[in-house]
Amino acid sequence: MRALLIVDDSPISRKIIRKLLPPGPFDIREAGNGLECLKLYQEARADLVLLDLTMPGMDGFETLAHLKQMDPQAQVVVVTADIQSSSQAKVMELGALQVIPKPPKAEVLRQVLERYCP
Amino acid sequence: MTDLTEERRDTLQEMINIGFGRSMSSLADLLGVRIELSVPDVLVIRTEEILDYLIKVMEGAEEVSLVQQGFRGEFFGEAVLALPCLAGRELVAMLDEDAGFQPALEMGQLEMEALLEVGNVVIGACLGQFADLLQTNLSFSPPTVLMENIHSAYLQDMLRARPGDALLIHTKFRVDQRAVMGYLLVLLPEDCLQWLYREVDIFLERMLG
Repeated sequence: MRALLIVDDSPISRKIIRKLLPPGPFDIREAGNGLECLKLYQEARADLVLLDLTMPGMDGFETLAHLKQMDPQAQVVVVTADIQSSSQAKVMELGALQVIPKPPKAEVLRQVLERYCP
Repeated sequence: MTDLTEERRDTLQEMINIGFGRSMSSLADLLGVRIELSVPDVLVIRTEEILDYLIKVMEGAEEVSLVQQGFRGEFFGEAVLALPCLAGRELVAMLDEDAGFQPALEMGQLEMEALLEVGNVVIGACLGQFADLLQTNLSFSPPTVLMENIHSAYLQDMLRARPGDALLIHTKFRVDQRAVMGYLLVLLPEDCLQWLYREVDIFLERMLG
């Protein structure tokens, strides 16, 4: 079973992502902030992390940097409303695989899962 | 009568977050800089309390530049981009490097035009995207700009014009490497809150099925 970690401070946003995911089986865990994400990832690594950027406290950039430090092989796809090209460049530099603009589309999520955790 | 439930608040916050992401991308392109976003706050507030709220979020700034723009459609209201006065001048310097940073000068035509442009881009892109998510359209009145002391009677009158509840959406941004912060306030009068809540429920139903 593929393990997914959805990281977003908005419960609705996490719910929407869950709803749009293609049929599993997935082991889906959720984190409401960066620290929780790091804790969950440390407990059990995920095959793919879907990470928001704009979060209170530790934002997605910092979370991504810590994740990659903890596990250089961590697969992270950023799902964000911050569509600035500089933000995209920054997360790619930090090691994200891809950036998906919010609101995410089911088809895009399907392609991402097929590509990064088939 | 329906309320701003936690679920609606969270949904509105996320929708504005998406709209604000779009507007900051446009602003970053306009200014050629990177902008850091923060999570928006959504609250229902009495209109007579708005000024106190603004004073609190402006973190001690006395002179503020405000770009105001009305919007109208199936829902209506007013958006206000509030910048501490010196932040407005920094933006002018970024838009027109030849003008430089001139904190001692009165707000001239150049600064006013720059603020109008910035306000227009931020408000238009954010609310345009928000309206798209609600599958509706908005028309915008031309923006106006004013620079006032935050305690001025004019501001008090303007923000207390319509008694009752208003939905206030507040979000903050920071322009990278410069001490420029701004706040976007979206004020929706009581009259259209019920409409908005219904539409948010419809949006959720559409997304979650």
